Amino acid sequence: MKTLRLFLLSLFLCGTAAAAVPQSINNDDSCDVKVGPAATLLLPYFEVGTDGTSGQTTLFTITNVTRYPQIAHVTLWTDFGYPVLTFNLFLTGYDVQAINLADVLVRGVIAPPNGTTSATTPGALSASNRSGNLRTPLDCTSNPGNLPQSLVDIIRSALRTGAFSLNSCTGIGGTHSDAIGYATVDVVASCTERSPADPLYYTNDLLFDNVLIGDYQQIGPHPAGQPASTFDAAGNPMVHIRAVPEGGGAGSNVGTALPYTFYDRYTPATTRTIDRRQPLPSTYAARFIQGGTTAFSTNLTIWREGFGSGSCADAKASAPLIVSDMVRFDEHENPFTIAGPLLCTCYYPPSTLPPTSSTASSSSVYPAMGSADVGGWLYLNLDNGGSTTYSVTHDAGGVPTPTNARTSLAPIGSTTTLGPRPSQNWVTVTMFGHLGGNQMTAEFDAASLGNGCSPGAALSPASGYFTPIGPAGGVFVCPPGTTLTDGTTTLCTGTNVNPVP
Amino acid sequence: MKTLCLLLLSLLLCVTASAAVPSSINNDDSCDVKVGPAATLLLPYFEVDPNPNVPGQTTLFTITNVSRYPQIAHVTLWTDWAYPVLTFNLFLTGYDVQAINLYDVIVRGTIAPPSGTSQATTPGTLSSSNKSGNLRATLDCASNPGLLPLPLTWAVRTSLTTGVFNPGGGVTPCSTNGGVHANAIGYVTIDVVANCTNLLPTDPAYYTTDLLFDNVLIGDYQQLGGSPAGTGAPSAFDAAGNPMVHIRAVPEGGGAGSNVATALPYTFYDRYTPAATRTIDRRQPLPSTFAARYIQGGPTAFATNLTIWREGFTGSGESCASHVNNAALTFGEIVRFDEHENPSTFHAPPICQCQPNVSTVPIASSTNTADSIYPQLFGTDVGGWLYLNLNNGGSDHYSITSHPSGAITAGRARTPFGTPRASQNWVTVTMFGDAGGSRMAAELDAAPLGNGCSPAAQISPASDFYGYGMVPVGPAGGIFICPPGTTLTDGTTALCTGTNGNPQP
Repeated sequence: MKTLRLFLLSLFLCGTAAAAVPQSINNDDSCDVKVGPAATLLLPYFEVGTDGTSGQTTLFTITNVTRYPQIAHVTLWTDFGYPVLTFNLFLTGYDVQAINLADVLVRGVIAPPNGTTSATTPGALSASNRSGNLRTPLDCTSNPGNLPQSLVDIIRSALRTGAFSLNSCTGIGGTHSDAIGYATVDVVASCTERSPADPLYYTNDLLFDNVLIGDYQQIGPHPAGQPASTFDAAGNPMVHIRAVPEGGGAGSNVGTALPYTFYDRYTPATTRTIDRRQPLPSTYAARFIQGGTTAFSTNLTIWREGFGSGSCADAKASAPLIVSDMVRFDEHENPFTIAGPLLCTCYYPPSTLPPTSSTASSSSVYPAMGSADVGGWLYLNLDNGGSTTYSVTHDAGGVPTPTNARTSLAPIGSTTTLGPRPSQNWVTVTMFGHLGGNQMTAEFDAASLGNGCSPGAALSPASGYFTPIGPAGGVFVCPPGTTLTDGTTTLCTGTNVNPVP
Repeated sequence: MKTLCLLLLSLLLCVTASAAVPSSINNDDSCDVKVGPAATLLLPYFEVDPNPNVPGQTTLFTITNVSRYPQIAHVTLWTDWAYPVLTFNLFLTGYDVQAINLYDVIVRGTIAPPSGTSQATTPGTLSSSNKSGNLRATLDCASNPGLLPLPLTWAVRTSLTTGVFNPGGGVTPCSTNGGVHANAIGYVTIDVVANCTNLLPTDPAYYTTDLLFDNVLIGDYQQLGGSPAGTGAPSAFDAAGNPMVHIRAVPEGGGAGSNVATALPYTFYDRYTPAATRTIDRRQPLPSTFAARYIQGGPTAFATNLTIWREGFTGSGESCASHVNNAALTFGEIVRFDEHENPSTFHAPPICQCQPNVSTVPIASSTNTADSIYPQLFGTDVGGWLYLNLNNGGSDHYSITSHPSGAITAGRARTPFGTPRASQNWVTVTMFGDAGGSRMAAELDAAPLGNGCSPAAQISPASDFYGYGMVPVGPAGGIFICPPGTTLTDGTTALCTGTNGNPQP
C-alpha cells in the first residue's frame, strides 16, 4: 500500500510540475504562428492585373535557410479555394527565389529565364543537391520554366471568371478583372505534380522540415473598389506554418499534439493530422482608418478555410462563407454591429466572404461606422460555422474524428454550429492615405486573439450574447496564489489553457 | 527496493510523457513572439524630423486595448543608446484605441491631443467601468499630461538628437546618452501597469509596484517619409508599417508586484529587474539570430534598410557615462548570401573582404544593406539574404535562471545559452524601389531563426577564420530532426542531428 501511495504521489507530482511550468521553451513547440522557418508558407491573397498595363502584381520570395537543398511545391488556388496550378521550385542550400505572379499568369514563365533545376550549382556553403531529405533519384531536372500559352490562358481564366476548362468546372472562383486567389508553398521530397487536395500528396510527397521563410509585396495596391491613383507597394511576411513536431521522411506518420491541422480537410481519412501543420486562428483584432482629410482607407485581406476536400462542388459551396460575428469599435469605443443598434434582436443575415478576399473596411460587409471618427478597430470572429468535413483528434485514443459531435473546441454556445471545431483564417490590414499628392500604403498582420488550438468563440454581447470580446480564454488570468492588484479574485475567470479535444 | 524502482519508473514515465507530447497547445504558452495580445509592446525604432516648421518624417504608433476592462499603457521613450528620457501614461478605457504621433510629442510637446487621456473618459457601452479591472484601487490618472512643459520637450528633443539631456528642475543632466543625428532617433517600450506611475523600467521598484502581467494590448506603427539610410531626403513621400513587437507575460496574470515563477530562462527586462527576482517581469525574451532579405541596386533603385533593436549593456542604476557602452554593439556574425547562394563575409573565404569584423551599431538603428557594416555584395545580383547573429557577446548585467532551483546565474558564467546568455534583438526589413517616378516602400519583420529561449548560436563555417566554426547557418537546433521511429526520405538517419528541444537553464 505504501508503495502504491508513493507511486501515485510521484505521478501527482509529475502532473503538478507540468501545471506549474505550463509553457514549452523549445523552438517550434507551439500553436502560435510566428515569422520563422516553416514547412508551409501561405500567401493569403494575390491580385494580378492581366491586361499587362495596370502593373498590379504580387511578388513573393522564398528563402531556404538551410544548407541542404529543398523543393518548394507551389500551388495556386482560386479565390473559392480550388487548386488550378502547381509547380516546383528547386532551391539549393541557402537559395532565395522570387516569383512575380505576373510572370506566371501573364507571360507564362516560372522563375525566368529557365525555371529552377537540380542542375544548378550550389553555393560554397551549400550542401550537394543530392543530399538532404529529398527522394532518390531526383526528378527535378525538367522543372518547367515556360508554361504552354494555352495552359496559361486556362489558368488565368479560372482566376478571373471561375471557369476551369481543364476539369470542366465552373463557379470555382469569382468574376473579377484581375486574377485573384491565394498560394500555398510546401516543402516536399520530390518534384511532384500532385496538389494538396490529393490525399496521396501527404503519404508520398509532403515533408515536415521547418526550413522555408517567405515574404510578399503587392505592387500597385489600392483601396478596394477604387482605382490606384499613384503607384505604390505594400509588403508583409507570408504566413509561416510550422510542422509540429518537425521532421521525418516523406510519408512519415508521426503523432502530434495539435488538435487538428492546416490541411485537415484534404488529408487521408485515417490519418487526418498527417501533415502536422499548425492550424490557424479564428478571431482577430484589425485596426482601420477611413475617411478624413487625407483620404484614409483600409483594406482587410482575409484568407478563410473553405468546405469539403477540393472538388468543384466544394469550391462552389465555399464561395459564400459566413462571418460569425463582427463588431466595429470607433475611437470612442462605441460598438457597431451589422444588425445595427447594439443588442438588437432583429435578424440580419450574416456577412459572407469567400476563401480569399480584399475588401474595404468601409464596405457593407462590415458594420457601418456610426460616428464621425476616422478610425478604430474591428473584432472579427471569422468562424464559418464549421463543417462535418473538419476533424479533430480525440485525446483518449488519438483517433482523428470527422464528426458532427460537439467537442471541447466547439463548445455549446460557440459559433461553431456544425462539425467539431472553428474554421481557420488569416487577416492582414492595408492602410492607405494621401499626403501632398503622394499615396502612402502600409500593410501588416492583424492580431489574432488566440491561436489555432483555441476553442471556438461564442457570440459577443454586441450580438446579444454573454461572452465578452477579448483574448481567447478571457481576462483576467490569475496564476495560483495571486490576486488582482486590489486583492480580489472575483474577476479571475480567464484561462490560457486550451482543452485537449 | 521495489518501492524505489516504482518511484523511479513513475518519474521516468513522467519525463517520457513530456517528451512524447512536445508541444503546448495553450494560448500564450511559448517563447515564440507572435502578433497577438501582449503585456509589453516594443517599437524598435523611431525617427522624427524635429523641424518645427515643416512636418516631415515621423513615426506614428497606435495601441489598442482588446479587453473590456480599462488598462494603463506606460510609454517610455529611450534614446538610441538606451537612456530613458520620457515616460508618460495612456489611460485606455475598455476596447480603447489610442494613436500617438511622435512628432506631436517630440516637437509640439503634446501627448494624445487635444488634452491627453484620462480616467474621466466615458467608456463605450461594451466597456467596463473605468474603476474596474486590475488597476490600483485609488487611481491617479486624472492628471495625465496632455501638454508637456516646453523646457522638457526641448530637453527630450535635444537628447534624442544630440545625446545631451538637461531638463533642469533638479534632474541630473546627462551628456552622453545618445548619438548625434539631425532627426530624433530612439525606441519605445509600452507596458501594461496598475497605476499612472512615473517610474522608469530602469528602476527596480517599477517591477515590484507597478508592472502588470495581462496580455491585453496590441499595437502597430507607421514610419512616414522613410528613406534608404544614408541617401538624404526622400524623393517622394511614402510610408511603411508593421506590427510592434508583441511581448507576452508568461505565465499571464496576477496583480502588481506578483512574483510568479516562469519557465522562461530569462526575460525581456532582465538587466533592470531586482537582483533577487530577475524574472519578475515574466516578459518573453527576444531572439538573437535572424534571416533578413535584401534588395539593392538595379534599374529601379532598389534599396533596403535593416532596422535593428538590440539589447544594451547598461543595467539598473548605471551612470550616465556608462551609456557610451551602448553606442557600439558588435555583431556575433554576419553572412551575406546573394541570389546564387554565394556567401560573403568580413574575414573568411570563400568570398572575403579579408578584414576584421568591426561592425557595430547602437541599440536602435536603421542602416542601409549597402553600408560597409555589412559584408559587401559581390557580383551583379541585386538581392539575397543576410544571416545575422546579433549576439553582442553577453554582459555582466545579464542573468539566467538555473534549473531546478530557480537560482540566478549572472555575469560571465558560461551556460548553454552563452555568457550567461545571448543578447536579445529584433530586426525589420524596409525595402524601397522606384517605378515610373513613384516610390514604393514595404516593411516587414525579418525571420528569427530560433526564439529567445534558444541557446546562443556558434560561429558558422562561413566565418571560420580561426577554425572553430562548425555549426552551419540555419534554424536554431539545426536540421534534420527525426522524430522517434522515423528516418529521412532515403531511409537513413545519419543527417538526423538536429533538435528543437532547448535545454533548461
